[in-house]
Amino acid sequence: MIFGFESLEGGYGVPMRVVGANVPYEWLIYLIMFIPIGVFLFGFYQRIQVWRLAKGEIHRNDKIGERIVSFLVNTFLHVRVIKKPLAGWMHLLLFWGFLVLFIAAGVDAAHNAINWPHLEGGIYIGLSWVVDVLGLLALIGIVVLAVIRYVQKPDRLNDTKASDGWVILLVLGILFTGFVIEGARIAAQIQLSTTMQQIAYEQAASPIGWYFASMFAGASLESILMWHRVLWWFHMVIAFLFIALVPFTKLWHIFGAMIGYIFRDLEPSSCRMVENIEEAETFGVENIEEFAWKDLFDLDACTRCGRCQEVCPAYNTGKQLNPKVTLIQAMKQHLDAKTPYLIANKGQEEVVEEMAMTAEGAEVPNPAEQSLLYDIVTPEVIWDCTNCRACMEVCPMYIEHIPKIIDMRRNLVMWQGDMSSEAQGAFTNMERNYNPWGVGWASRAEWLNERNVREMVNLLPEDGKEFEYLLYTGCAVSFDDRYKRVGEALVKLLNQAGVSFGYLGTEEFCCGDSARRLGNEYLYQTMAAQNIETFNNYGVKKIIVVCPHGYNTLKNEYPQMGGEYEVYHYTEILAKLVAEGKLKPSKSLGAKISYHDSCFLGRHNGVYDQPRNVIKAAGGTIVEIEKSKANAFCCGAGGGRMWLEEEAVEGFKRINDTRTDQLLENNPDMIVTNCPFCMTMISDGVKGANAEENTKVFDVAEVLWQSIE
Amino acid sequence: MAGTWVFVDQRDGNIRKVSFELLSEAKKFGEEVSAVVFGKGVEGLAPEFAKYGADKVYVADADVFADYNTGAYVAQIVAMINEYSPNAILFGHTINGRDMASRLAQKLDAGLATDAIAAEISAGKGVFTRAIYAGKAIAKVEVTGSPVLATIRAGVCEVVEAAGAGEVVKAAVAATDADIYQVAKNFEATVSARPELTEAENVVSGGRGCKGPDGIKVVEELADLLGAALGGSRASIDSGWLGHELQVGQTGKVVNPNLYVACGISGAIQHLAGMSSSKFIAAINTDPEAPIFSVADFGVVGDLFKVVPLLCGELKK
Amino acid sequence: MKVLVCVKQTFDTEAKVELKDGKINDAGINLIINPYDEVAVEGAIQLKEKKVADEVVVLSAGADKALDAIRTALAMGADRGILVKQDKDADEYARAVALATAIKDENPDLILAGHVAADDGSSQVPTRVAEILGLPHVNVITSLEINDGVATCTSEADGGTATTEVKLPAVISSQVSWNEPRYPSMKGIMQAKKKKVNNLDAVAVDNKVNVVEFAMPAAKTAGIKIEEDPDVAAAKLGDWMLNTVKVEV
Repeated sequence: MIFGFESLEGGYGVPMRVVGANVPYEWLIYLIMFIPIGVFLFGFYQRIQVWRLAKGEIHRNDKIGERIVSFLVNTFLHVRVIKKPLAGWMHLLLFWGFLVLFIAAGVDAAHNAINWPHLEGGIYIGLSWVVDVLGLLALIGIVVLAVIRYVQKPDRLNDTKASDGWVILLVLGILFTGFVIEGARIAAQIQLSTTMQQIAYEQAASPIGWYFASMFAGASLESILMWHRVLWWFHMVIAFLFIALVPFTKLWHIFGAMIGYIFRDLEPSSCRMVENIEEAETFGVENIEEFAWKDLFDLDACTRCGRCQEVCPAYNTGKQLNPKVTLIQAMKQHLDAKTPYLIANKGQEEVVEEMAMTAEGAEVPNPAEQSLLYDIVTPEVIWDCTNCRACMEVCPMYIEHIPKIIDMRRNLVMWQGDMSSEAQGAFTNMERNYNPWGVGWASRAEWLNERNVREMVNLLPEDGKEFEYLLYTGCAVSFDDRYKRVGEALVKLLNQAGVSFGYLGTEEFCCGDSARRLGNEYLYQTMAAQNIETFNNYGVKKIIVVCPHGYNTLKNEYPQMGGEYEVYHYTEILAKLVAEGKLKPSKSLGAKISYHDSCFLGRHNGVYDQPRNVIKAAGGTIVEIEKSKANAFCCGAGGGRMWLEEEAVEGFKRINDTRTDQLLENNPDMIVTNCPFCMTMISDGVKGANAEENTKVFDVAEVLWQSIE
Repeated sequence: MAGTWVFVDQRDGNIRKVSFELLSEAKKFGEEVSAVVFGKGVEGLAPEFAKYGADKVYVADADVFADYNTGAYVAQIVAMINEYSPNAILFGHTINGRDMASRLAQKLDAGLATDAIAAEISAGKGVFTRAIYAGKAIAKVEVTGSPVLATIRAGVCEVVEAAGAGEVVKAAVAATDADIYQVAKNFEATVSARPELTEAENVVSGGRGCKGPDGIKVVEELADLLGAALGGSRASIDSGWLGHELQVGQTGKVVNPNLYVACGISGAIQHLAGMSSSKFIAAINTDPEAPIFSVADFGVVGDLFKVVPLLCGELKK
Repeated sequence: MKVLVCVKQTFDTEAKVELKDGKINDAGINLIINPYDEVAVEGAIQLKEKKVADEVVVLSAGADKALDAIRTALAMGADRGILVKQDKDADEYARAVALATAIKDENPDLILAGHVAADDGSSQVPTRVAEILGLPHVNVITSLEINDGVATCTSEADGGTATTEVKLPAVISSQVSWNEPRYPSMKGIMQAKKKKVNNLDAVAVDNKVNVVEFAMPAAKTAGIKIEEDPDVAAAKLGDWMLNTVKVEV
């Protein structure tokens, strides 16, 4: 029957569907389909060629099981996507509707072409119903998504392009014409049928199509059959267009996402390691092709949904950095423009020169000569980032923004030598005195005497007694006058709970977080190597870290250099001691508290409950603010920005003031933090808001000690 | 031997206070004390030095000395040393003083103690106390030779009035225009109604706690009430609230006033190096743990925006 | 034009200074380029970047360790180095003689140095070097321009700011506010490893100034600290100023 023309009959005796009936030359589809498939494969191949240009190293072939699970739950359950509920669920409907319709169409086509057995009877009715209803849901999905983009117009979609509309129209067209064809078919079948039973099941099998059939009420059979034929071809053409367009438009995200879910970063929050830095010949990324393949892949994967933009503290305070527009999309456009040059360059230099010659005179700058760091992304954007991870937390494609920023910072710092004098100062301080404050290293343990807790501490270089935990306080406890009091509270708590701990004093170095995240990988590795050596010399197994930056670094980044320890944030230890009854709060604070999740304890490490439990045990009432836990807004000090000046942009507040306003929303008695940088930033914010009288800023350890002392 | 000479640091007849401090100090060594002054039309300054015990005033008055210039000044003093053989020459540790003393010392192949905070001079030998490592250590150094050369920090010696003969000795002019190798193009005096930082009896400084130009105004009011010089910590200089020339600290000016009032200054080592040798130190800071309190004679834990205006009120009473 | 910069290796300015056997203990002390000299190095490199200078030579007199200071200057962008080996107890005179001897052989058009060293704080050496070489000098400059062999300097002066011109060759010493020294990039550090450093021995001369003893300063003890209502605190502080300090209002 392949070359035959099957006329549309009336209803069948057994509920079933004959595919391709009423369409002359229907078989041509089986030849034509190779065009869109070919185009698709060519486009896909081209994308792979682009990723293969990447020179950076990255390893994403471990943890196969975890990767498969990530693929499944993210693709089929949209676990990330639905975190934005309305758009997410609508997208899920669209996804499932489109997927099932595609499978159904494929099954039908396969049945027709290679004589798969017909689906008949109840099974046909049931499956057809499912497909029909999912089709409707998909239609609802795309309509709602269009309404969000064009009517609701959230700020995150502020770069809507014509192509976004065309893609929506295309999807809408495919779904809609599908139903109209079905309606026409049913309308024709009704006219052709001889018995009621033959058409009755159609209502059950295709409830939506049935509704569309009423469009043809009163039309002649001839015109219905003609409409059916025309629309059938139209439907096929736009469906094929869809397939062909996938690799060249935002539709690529369908595959970009699925591949991304497999190859996403599964490591605990860490910066990428530079191996053998002593022998390195270049540092960081100066040209776009120096990124790793996953980075270039990420640029293709971005659908410009703008969730990153919506949560970015830099963008929200008017800075140049917009993770969607000025980072990922800027690089994507540059990559696309530079690709022909890069592909040519793989062959020979002359070709590039030739191409550059022809590009000369044109008004568009030659992409091969544009600087990624200075023309495309710009240093302002690169330095604006606080590494707060909010963008990476919400990105439905698991795009890795921070590593790209850090790679570019590495080049600016270690290769161009281009950084602010504040950054230079922080580096110099760490080099000379092993702390970013720059206070003489020899006074690192003096806070013990200043706060009168020397007797409670096993200062390892002097006392050298046995210990279970190493207390790694980090620089702030030693050198930030405000945070010395937090160190004091913690030492008293550990002492009271009978925890055996040692402290390195002057032998402790900065963890290196600020250096690493400001792009000075070399300095970071120097700090880390020294600390690891010292830890190993003292036989350290378990570490309690005070500063969340140190916690993240020791826990997630030192293993890259062979430093494997059991690392706890002090709030985890305090929560455990309270739960075990080793610390018994005796008086209740009775204070209304806004709790601020620091980025490096919260989003980077998922520690949300333990600090809250400690505060509750101390009798504090936490009134959760809107932006808390994984949605918390940065204080502005992460990513080494603690050491850089932040100029307020006209019409906006600074990041710390913005965050402080959020924390002050419920007029709390206290704002409680868990991080010395946050403490500084938010204390400044509270002073700036003239709220010092009513709202005090404390650390979790202080709050607990106040309830015990 | 012609006793101890004090080289007078003056510009347009305005004598820096350190010159009087040195005359008073030189009196302690029991030798004849002479002021040595170079300039144009400076002879009339002689009685000023007599008031602080100068037995003689050597004057070299000529156009070539109108403005300080190392070449002509050094040529002149070398000639005078050859003629009068002073036992020791003391300079103020000012920019000009150390410039001239260093060039002179090398010309004489001699040693020189700069920035001394105490001096003992006997025949052919001087023992000077110097603060080294920004005041973190003290070195006592011995300079031998004739004359003994040293520059002394401003503010460390007290000015004591003592009548001296003040006999004017006109020195033969031994320098010519050919000795001038630095061509002075311009001099812009710091325009301020307040005394200079290194000269002032009292200094009032503002730091990060001032939060901005408004806070500096509060501090200025106190400075003017006390007739004090205005200074600042690095934070207020870097923020642009105060000019660079007003920075007190290791990389700024080292001051030794009678009273130093630190307002909103936490007291980083950098800052302490520039003011901790002040005779009296008062500090106002919101943070009770600020290191400034460890050197303050009188510390107030409080907000400078509240305390300083009230303090001005108290002082006006 | 050839620019030569004299650098001294000093203790880190934050270092804890202690005495050991009556001498300054240098164990465990991080050594840096004297911050005032670092500014001079930066100034020289900027002259090269502006094509005013075509070679920047960095010279240090000191112990073997002073090579690190030279390397840092090379990493910042200086072209080559000279290390004059000299005892660390050399005084300003001996230091100046050692430096001037090396400079004579180089015959530079401009000699830059910091106006003072953060360790001994004596601010003599650049002026002494100028005298030995018979060159003019300008001290404590905060800006420098060079045109047709004449250097125009803005410098800190007592009670103001002076603008001075000198003919090159000359010795010019820098104040820290002249510029902000750059942080050497890894690229600079790698290139510095390939740059040449000549080693010389210092001319043996005796010190003119001898240290009799080192001591620690008397610790300043904290006085009264009050934490009271602003009006009470202000009254007490005012009383102290008027009656103890005896200020005149």
